[in-house]
Amino acid sequence: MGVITYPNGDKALLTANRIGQYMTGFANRYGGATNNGIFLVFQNFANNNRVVKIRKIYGNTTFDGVATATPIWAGFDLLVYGQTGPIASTITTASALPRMNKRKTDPASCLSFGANAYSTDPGDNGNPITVQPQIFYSSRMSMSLTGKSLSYSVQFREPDFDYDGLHLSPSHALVGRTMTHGGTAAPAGFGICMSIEWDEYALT
Amino acid sequence: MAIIKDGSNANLYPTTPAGSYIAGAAIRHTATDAADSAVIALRNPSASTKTVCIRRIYGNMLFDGTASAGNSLGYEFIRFSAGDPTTGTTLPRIKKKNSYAASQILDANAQFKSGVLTMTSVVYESEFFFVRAPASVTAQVVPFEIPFVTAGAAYEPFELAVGEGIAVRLNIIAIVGQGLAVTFEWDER
Repeated sequence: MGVITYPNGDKALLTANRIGQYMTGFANRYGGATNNGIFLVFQNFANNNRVVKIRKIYGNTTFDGVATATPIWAGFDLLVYGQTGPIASTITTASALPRMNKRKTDPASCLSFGANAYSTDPGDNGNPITVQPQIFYSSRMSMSLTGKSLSYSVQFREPDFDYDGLHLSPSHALVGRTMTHGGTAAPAGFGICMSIEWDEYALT
Repeated sequence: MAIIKDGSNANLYPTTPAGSYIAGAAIRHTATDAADSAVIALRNPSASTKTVCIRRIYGNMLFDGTASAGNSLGYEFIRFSAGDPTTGTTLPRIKKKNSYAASQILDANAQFKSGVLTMTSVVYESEFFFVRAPASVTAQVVPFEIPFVTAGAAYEPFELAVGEGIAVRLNIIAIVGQGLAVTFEWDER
């Protein structure tokens, strides 16, 4: 199938180029989430010949720790790295995420070659990435009452159209970081459950 | 109509399914059931002639037990193969339209079961979704949804090939009074 180019020069990511559809999920409970604690680096392999298009990110956050007397909010930001420059470095202290084929007959995800992972305690990782962050989603919940849960969902509603979905070109990454307000760290017991669904396309 | 395929050789606009189905289950734990125990499972049987395409899964986590400071409750969703869930209670599978063929999951070789299940010889893959609820106070209700298929999308269900199933397992050891209500919607193609 021929390559279709938009008037602005972008090449269309047609569904004819789709290689497969994938998803992953994880759950963490933190001992004291901090500002800018990187818990997720979901990176398209630097020399990859595929484009990653994220369809959905969803899950819930929880707090089962001791409520704080002074107001503290905890949560997370989702960011895109790489659109304004290369990623300086990747996460180091982490566990590899599984990459599930939604359909077993699809080829394996290219992300198995990337340095994409999550940590069990984001505070352990410091701030390994220094290129300009571009925040596109934030979630926060109060720590002044225990026993709370908050659902979230980022859905790119028309995923088969080219101008929807969140594109990660080679070396670009989706990054998640914990954030707090009103204190330098959240009390122990803040946690994040997250699932990510994405497609991979051959570069045209 | 011509069959149009995408780069993975899948039909871009899938053929009409043989039927579309919905089923629900609910469980309330009365014991401290172990982490990784399966409590609800659905398998596309080895005798099936169809692929099961899961459209969405949704429900609530519940907790009405004694509060436990610093603890959370959790479930995880995972695909499996090579074995059937046994024990538990068989659940009905509802046709969304009466004229559809009966679900392949009704096959005697397969199960859609609820309870603390026996999963002998089952081979699990990796978990793809987690939901947790804090146990530090009682009277919890935590809604969740896995929206595999969004409006306008032709091809994005979570597939169960012949012999594959999906299970809901305890992610953390249960506390008495913990529960789950969950609904599955799927097509068979």
